Amino acid sequence: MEVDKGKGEAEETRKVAEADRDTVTLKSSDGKLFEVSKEAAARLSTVLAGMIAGGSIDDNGTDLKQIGSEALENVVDYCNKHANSIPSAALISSSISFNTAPFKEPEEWERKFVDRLSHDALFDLVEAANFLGMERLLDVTCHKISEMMKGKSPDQIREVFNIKNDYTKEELEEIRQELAWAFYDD
Amino acid sequence: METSGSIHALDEYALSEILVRLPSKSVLRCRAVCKQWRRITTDRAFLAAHAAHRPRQMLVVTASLTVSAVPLSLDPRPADDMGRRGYLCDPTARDKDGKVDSMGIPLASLDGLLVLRQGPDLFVVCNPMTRQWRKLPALSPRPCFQVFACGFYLHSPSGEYRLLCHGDTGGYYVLSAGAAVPRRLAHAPADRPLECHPAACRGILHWSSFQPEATRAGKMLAFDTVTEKFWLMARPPCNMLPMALLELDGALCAVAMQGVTLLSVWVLQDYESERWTLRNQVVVQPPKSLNDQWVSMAISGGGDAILIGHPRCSHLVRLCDLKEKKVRKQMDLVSVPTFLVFSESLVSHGFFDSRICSELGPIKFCD
Repeated sequence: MEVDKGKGEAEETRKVAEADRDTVTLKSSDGKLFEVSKEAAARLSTVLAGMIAGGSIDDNGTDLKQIGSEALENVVDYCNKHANSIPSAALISSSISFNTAPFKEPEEWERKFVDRLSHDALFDLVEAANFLGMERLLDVTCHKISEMMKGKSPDQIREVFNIKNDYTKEELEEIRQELAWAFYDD
Repeated sequence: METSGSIHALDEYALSEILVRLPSKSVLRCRAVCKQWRRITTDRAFLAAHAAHRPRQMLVVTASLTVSAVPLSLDPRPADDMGRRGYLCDPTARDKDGKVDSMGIPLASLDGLLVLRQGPDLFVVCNPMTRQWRKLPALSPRPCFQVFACGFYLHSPSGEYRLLCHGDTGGYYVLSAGAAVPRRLAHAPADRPLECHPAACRGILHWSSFQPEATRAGKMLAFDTVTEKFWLMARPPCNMLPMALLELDGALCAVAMQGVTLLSVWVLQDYESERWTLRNQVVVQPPKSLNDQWVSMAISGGGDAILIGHPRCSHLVRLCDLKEKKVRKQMDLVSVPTFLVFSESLVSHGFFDSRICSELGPIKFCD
């Protein structure tokens, strides 16, 4: 078993955690351990909240076999940052907004958090957020990916995301004719 | 090959969570990416969620009689609003020399659908995002020559979109999108309200404008869209002033200026007993021009904000924060503000499926 020392002396933190139990230990699919604030984990993830409430948290590291160490590190990083971030004034006063859409714009630090991720890391994080029931993190990551699609042609989208075109030439032509105007530039 | 860390590794739920955030035009483009994306982006539940998340905009009619949408947001500086307006369509029919045959004024906006007038007796329902349009059942040349649109609504029991109309020969008619013929309402008042723009609340349309019977009785006209019954109900205590009705927090409210600087909002606290109570009062700065001071239209901004104006005299729109008790922003829209709220929708409707009638004037969209 390998302990990730880069994450703020995880071993030390774990000893403290076992004493007063204000953090939980999560284990990635490749066996790395990560400490995360229990409060933040319970608040941000419905799955972790359920595990904490149900007492199924393992002090030696709760197995999350579906999540690789890189994605889990990002999840933990996000939780810890979220635990420390003071809700911005903008968020508090956002009760008045004509954009009644439930999608809340990411905050500045959340934007920076996803901007530094590679494509691969971003998709892994969407998967992890989805698996852990982390609505807010799913919001932030999906927002980032949708930004990458905006204004692009179908060809460009296929290229950027490495998607195979499974249409026949005739089928594609039919769609293009049906929606011709949508293919012009904005 | 499906590898971790690629878009292929995502399940359809996560993928639809991404696609649902895209603007309408991008969603349509995504249908050409691959078959899976087409399946996701044509699914009814996806389209309903997509429509529910589009930002609210207000329709404006420009000097050249085109219909545009202005974003309704607090943050941008007033100058930005002008640059960010989106052209939706040009419903005005013109002859060969470019002279206006008939103005296609937007009369109603609901769930991404616009109702446009294409002549004294011809109404069209149109979705500017999917570029589909269809004629509503015609009332002319018989039984009416002049038809007045009173309100557009979703009839919840049938799921039909319906336009309530009044004909010049007296009588109210229901024009359902997709129906072949109009339907006359048996029990209805003889006269119509002076102005369109009813406030919808609890499936009931309410008109604050002059209507002979209602005004004589010191009341206002209401119409239950489900039972199709009209009745007169108590007016808010601001009888002699221009007044606007709107729904706030699920309750029917009325907004009026009392004098030049006092904005009052009343709420119909108890709908059944028709008891109006004062909800808010805000002291506002008197505007520079007298034309700008009245309030005859208001829409909710969610939370505690309302947007107010008097489009007949002024292009000025004021954003009033009822909680903070102040005007947050004034916007000169240059175009005529309709106070019709529009938000994009790609939801498909059966009534658009039939081919477009040749007798319809063309509606031009942007390219």
